[in-house]
Amino acid sequence: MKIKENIKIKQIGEESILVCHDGGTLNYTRIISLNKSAEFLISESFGRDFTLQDWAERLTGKYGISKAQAMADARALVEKLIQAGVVYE
Amino acid sequence: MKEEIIYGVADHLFSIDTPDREVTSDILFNYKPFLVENNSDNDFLFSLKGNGKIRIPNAPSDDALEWNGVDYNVYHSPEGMIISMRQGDEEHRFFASPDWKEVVSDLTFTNEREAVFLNSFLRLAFGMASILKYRTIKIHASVTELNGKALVFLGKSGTGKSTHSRLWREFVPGCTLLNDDEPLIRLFENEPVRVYGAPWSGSTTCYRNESAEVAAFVHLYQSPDNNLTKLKNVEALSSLYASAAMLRSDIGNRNRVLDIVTEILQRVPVYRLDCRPDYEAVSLTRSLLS
Repeated sequence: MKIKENIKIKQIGEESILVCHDGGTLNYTRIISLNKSAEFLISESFGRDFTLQDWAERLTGKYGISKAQAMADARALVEKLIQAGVVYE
Repeated sequence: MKEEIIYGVADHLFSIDTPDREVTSDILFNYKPFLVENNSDNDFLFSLKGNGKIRIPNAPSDDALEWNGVDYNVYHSPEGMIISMRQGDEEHRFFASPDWKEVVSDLTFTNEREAVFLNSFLRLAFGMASILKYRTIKIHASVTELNGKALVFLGKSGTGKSTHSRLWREFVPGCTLLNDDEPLIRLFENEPVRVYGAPWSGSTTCYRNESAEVAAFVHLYQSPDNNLTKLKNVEALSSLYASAAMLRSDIGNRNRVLDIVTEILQRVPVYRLDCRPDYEAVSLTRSLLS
């Protein structure tokens, strides 16, 4: 999987917000709130291919959660990002 | 003989080289409140020169848009940006180098038929140049001011931004309209965010060279019930970013607008007003200026 180009992560107060432009000149922008782990995974994955397994490993590495939990979290995030058009397969 | 007219909008200067100051300033009558006499500052956004020969690139345009009856085609190249504007049979062209040091048009600045082209270009050029050098953006909004503080009403065309501003003037003594279409929002270090009037204001004649501190942005939605709520960060960013003017084909411009919008949101709240066009709706937003 890959994260689309033209993505910006902005901070407002404590919150991280992802802004995704799509469709070149079309007025089509998606704006999503990110939690810390989502921000971490996305920031680490700009411009490179990644798999669910990669993300799960990063989560276990950083937060020390179980593999099963990490896979479930990674899958939920990927599904959300695919639906939002931020990640493509 | 070459003469120069200097204008200051949101306290940013730009100039036009013209063979006849008087004729050009009459053509740009809406800019008269913004004329700068006796200037000693050399810090200009750009200096527009006329009678240039501008060639359109032999490629499709990067952006094609229609705005106030004018068709725009925008071309980007390493040398700079070329804008072609067409209205009916007339077409005029503009060129701006990437640093805005060289800004040329094929206009003469002495023919009143050029007014629509000159106005359209200056409005676009001002927005692009002012964000490049200073932290100023244009935003689609109607602005009402009271005692130096302003509410900036956002919303899609036809939602009732101008109507809400008009109702303020009807019900709130002392308030004034600062701009009714595309005011300027300017960020300063360690000072409140300010909103400025402009030489453009949609169909309303309101060309005020004045400013106010932004108290809040209020995004309006038509509704049978009046209700005011504060927006969360994600919604606030969506609202303000969608209202900001930008050239979408220019990624640099788009990203700079996003940066400024994000910074504004660190300092100014954004509200959502579901409203009817009535006194109760005004009393809700009135509470934001107390």
